[in-house]
Amino acid sequence: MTQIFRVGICCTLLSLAACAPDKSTERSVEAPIQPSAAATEVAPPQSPGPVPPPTAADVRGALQRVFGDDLTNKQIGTFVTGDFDGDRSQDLAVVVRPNAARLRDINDPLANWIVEDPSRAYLPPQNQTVVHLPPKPPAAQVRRGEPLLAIIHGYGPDGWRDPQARQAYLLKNGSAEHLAVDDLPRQLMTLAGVVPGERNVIAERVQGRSGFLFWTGAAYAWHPL
Amino acid sequence: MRNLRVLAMYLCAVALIAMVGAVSTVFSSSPTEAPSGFMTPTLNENPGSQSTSNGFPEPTGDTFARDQTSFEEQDGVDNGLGPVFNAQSCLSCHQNPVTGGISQVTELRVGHNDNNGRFVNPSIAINDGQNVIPNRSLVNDRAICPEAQERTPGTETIRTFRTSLNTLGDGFVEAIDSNTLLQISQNQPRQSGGRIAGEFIQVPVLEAPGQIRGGRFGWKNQMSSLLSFSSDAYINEQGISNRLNPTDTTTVCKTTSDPEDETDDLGMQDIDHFATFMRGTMAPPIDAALQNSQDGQAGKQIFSAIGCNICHVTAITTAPPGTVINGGAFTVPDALGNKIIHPYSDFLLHNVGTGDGIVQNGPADTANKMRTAPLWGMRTRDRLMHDGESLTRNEAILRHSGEANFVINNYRSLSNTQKNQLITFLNSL
Repeated sequence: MTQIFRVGICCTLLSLAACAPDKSTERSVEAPIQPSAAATEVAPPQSPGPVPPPTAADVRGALQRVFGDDLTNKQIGTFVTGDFDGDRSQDLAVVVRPNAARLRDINDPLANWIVEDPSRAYLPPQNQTVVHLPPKPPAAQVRRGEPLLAIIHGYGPDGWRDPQARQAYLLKNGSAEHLAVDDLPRQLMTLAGVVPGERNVIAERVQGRSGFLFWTGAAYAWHPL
Repeated sequence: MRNLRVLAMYLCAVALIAMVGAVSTVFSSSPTEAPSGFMTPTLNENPGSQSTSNGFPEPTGDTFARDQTSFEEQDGVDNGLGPVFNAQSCLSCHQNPVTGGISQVTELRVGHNDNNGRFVNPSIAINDGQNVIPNRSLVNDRAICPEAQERTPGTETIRTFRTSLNTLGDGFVEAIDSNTLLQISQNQPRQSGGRIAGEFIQVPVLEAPGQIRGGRFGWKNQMSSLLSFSSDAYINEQGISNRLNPTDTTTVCKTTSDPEDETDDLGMQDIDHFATFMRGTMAPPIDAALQNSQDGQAGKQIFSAIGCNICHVTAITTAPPGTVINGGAFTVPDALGNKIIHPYSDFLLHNVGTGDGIVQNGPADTANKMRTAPLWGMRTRDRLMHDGESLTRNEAILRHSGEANFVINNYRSLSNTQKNQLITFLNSL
């Protein structure tokens, strides 16, 4: 009788062993994904749309929101609006001066804006086959009393007025001599790698020299006329 | 009575064995951490001899060291280099701090938009206008003769540099089920109040004609398998035609016959060795001491608290071993399957305001979207973002806008102490 039980138990164990999953034969196939399931809902492009012309109060409010008390913005300098970075949201450019008491904050490596000298931006030369990138430029520093061009990139349909619009740049050599959003000749835009109609450029005269500021995709660069 | 006692004992034994079996099955199917380490040092002599793989099974006769040797091999004109190319070996662009890592080397891509605002690849005339390299955004910086040299035409107003990418741990990335990536994409609107929605695209698997799969390699997710990537890089970066891209970009100055990638004594070609090498590499390791520091731990919490982790996903589990992927061309082995990785990426395309305007394998709306940069191994980089134009961690963070705008505004609200903690954490990756 015991032998019968033993045989029975052995059979049970063998059956269990046979039923145990064999990893080497486990195969599944990555389930195919229908293109319709993978489609992402793409929001329609945002357009600046009709917005009222900016007032000095609007500009002062935006500067306060982004830069706090780090700029002397009691007297608002020349300002222009346009889509400088090509994201279909209106941006603001305004001539400002730093608050002398807050220079350390303005130049803090962890500040909420990027300080740049557009005249030092790197533009790859045309028709040169091999390009050696230049060494890293030293970090631009804002000096006491110097004019700067503050740029606030817009966010969404409300552009630079949107409370969430806080991406900002402080550009050295900001000039109040002349500042305008301009349509420049296509030839010059092409020279600088700016696609006409896709973003605005800022015409600017610095120390008597005319040129324009444009967004390279990573930084602002100044190109002489 | 005695028989009954024996029967009871046997039944207990059977039950015990069954329980142990069940428990072991459960544990054996639980995901485990992927091995990590910079374990492929670049050596001048005996390349690969001090390297350790993640356990990926080598094809018969092959070794991880031999795969690494192929990855590091310098090609010349006599074995198919060029006519147009960017570098002589995989190593030239994928080396820091060990073979398979990153580098400061960038590639140039250009194009223009048509009147409807749609991206158009350029056709670049070479050889004094006698030949044209059509329909390709990549402009090779080097050539084997001056006649073949590409130059950017002034008509191509969209221009961008792209930095070389890390390939360490890419075997694990390949082993992620496409459905996992799709699920991450579908969860993002809920996690972000509808502001973030990574785009999942499917791209051809070159080794499985007619098959598509979730893209995950390249700045535009233009590749889905490591063999496809190897083939694409071999033809486009080194100018060596191979069985999956059998025709060279141009015949100007060409002296070799297509396809130039030859079969070796193991029945493998270079692209097979490249793919096998990458599949065998360990994931980039963290700097544990820094990450476990007080600041590192605080920064890790801030990273998730402000929402960086919505796109820079902290952990993904690969498909189970035995899963057939790449359109049937590859089966996930034990070494890569069911592994937890920490890539700090969702491998999806996003518009964070840094898009370069180039369209590759995705639809037209991907022009200004880039793949979320995996942050693993980030401490080995000093030039950041796709173009390498951001030189500090703070600047790279501030360059994010678009979908990432609210996350970056959360960052702007941090104190300098908290920002430094976050950057400490990033420097531990």
